[in-house]
Amino acid sequence: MVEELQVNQEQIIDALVYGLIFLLLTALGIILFFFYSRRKIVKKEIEKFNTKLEHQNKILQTTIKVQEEERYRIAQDLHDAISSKLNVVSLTTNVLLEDSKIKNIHREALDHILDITTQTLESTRKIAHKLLPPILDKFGLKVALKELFDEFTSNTNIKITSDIDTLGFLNKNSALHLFRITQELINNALIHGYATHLDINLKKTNDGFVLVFKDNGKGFDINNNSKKAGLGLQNINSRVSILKGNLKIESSSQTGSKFTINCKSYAL
Amino acid sequence: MDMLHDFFDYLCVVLIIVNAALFIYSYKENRRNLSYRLFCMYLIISVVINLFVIILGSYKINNLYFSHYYFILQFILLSLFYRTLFIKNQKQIVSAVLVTVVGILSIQYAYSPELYFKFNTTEVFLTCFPIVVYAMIHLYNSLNKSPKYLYINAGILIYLATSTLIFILGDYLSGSNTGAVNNIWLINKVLYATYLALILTEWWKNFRLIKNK
Repeated sequence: MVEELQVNQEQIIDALVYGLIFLLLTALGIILFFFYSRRKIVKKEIEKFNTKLEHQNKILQTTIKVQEEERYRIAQDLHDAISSKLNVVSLTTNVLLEDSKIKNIHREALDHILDITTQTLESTRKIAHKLLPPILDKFGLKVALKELFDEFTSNTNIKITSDIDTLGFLNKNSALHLFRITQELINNALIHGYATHLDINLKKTNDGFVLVFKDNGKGFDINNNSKKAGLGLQNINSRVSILKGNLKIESSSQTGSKFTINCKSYAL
Repeated sequence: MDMLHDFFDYLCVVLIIVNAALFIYSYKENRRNLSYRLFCMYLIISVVINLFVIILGSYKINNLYFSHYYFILQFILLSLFYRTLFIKNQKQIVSAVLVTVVGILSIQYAYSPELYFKFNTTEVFLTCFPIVVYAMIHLYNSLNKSPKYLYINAGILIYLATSTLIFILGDYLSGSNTGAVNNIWLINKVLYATYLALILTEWWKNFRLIKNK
C-alpha cells in the first residue's frame, strides 16, 4: 500500500515536471514569437516609409525636370515669337524714321515707339536669360558660373572667390542642375545668411567632381531645417539626387555654412 | 543538493533586495511614471514579505499564511501596473477582473476562514492566471510600438506561468519531502531568480541612465 502510494506520488511529480517544462517552453515560444513578429512588422514599416520617401523624391525630381523643360520652352518662345517680332517693329520704325518728310509730331511718336520697343526687347532678353542662361549652352558651365558671380558682385556688395575646373564630361542637363544649385546657394547665403564673402570651388576628381560652397553668414540649424526643409534646400537636395551625388551640410553661427556636393558617378 | 538550494535561496534574497534598492534609487527621476511607482511598490512589498517569511521560517514559526498576502498583493499591484500600460478597453477589463477576483476571494475567506492557514489553490489560480494573460496582452500591444517593460514582462510571463502550476500543487507538495519534490522547489527557485534577474536587466537597460540624460 505504502509502495503504491509512493509510485503514485512519483508519477504525479513526473507529470508535474513535464507540465512545468511544457509551460516554460510555451512561455519562451510566445516571447520568441513576439520578438520575430515585431522584427517583421518593424521591417515592413521601414520598407513602407522608404517607398513613400522614394516616391516623394521622384515627384520632386519630376517637378524639377518639368520646370526646366517649361523654362526652356518659355525662353525659346520669348526668343522666337516675341523678340523676333519686336525686332521687326524696331527695324520698321527705323525705316520710317529715316524718311525726312515725316512731321515732327510723328517723329516723336516713332521715337517713343522705338524707345519702348528697345526697352521691351531688353526686358525680354533678360527674362529669357534668367529662364535659361544661353551662355551655359554656348560656352559651358565655367563661363556661365563666372558670369553669375559677376552679376552678383556687381549688383551687391558681396565678395566671391572661386576656383572652377572645366568639367567636360558633364552633359547639358547636369551642368544646368549644377548651375541652378550654385545660384540657389548664393541666393540663400545672401537672403537668409546675410553673408558678405563666398568661397566657391568646383573641382574635378578621378570619378566625378566636388563642389564646395562656403559662406561667412550666420548659419542655420541643419536638423531643424531638414525636417521642414525650406523650398530652396529641398530643391538643392533633389537636384543633387538627380546628379546622383551626395550633399553634406555643415553650419554654425560662428563659421557660417559649408555645403559639399560630392558626385562620383562619372567614373571614366 | 542542499547547497544548491541554499545558493538559490540567498541569490533570490540578494536579488530582490538589490532590485528594490535600485528601483528606489531611480524613483526620483521616474516619480511621474505611474507604472514605475506601482512596480516599485510591488518590489518593496515583495522584499517585506520575503524577509518576514525568512525570519519566521528561521524560528520555525508557521509562515504559510504570508502566501495569501503575497499572492493577493501581487495580483492587485501587477493588475494596476498592467492597467497603466493598457489601452482604453483593456483597462476596463483589468478593472473588472480585479474587482471580481477580490470579490470571489473575500466571499471564500468569509465562508471558510480556515483556508487562511492552508495553501489556497483557487487563490493561486485566480491571482496568477489573469497576470499571465495581461503579460500576453502587453506583448501583443507592443508589437507595433516601442515596447515598455519588455524584460519585466518576459520575466512575469515565464515565472508566473510556471510557478502557478507549482503553487497549485503546493499543498500536495508541502506534504511530502522526497528528493523529487525538493527538485520541484529548486526549479521554482531557479525560475524566481531568473525573473528577478530580468527585473534587474530592465532597470539596467531602461532606468539606470536617466539621471545622466
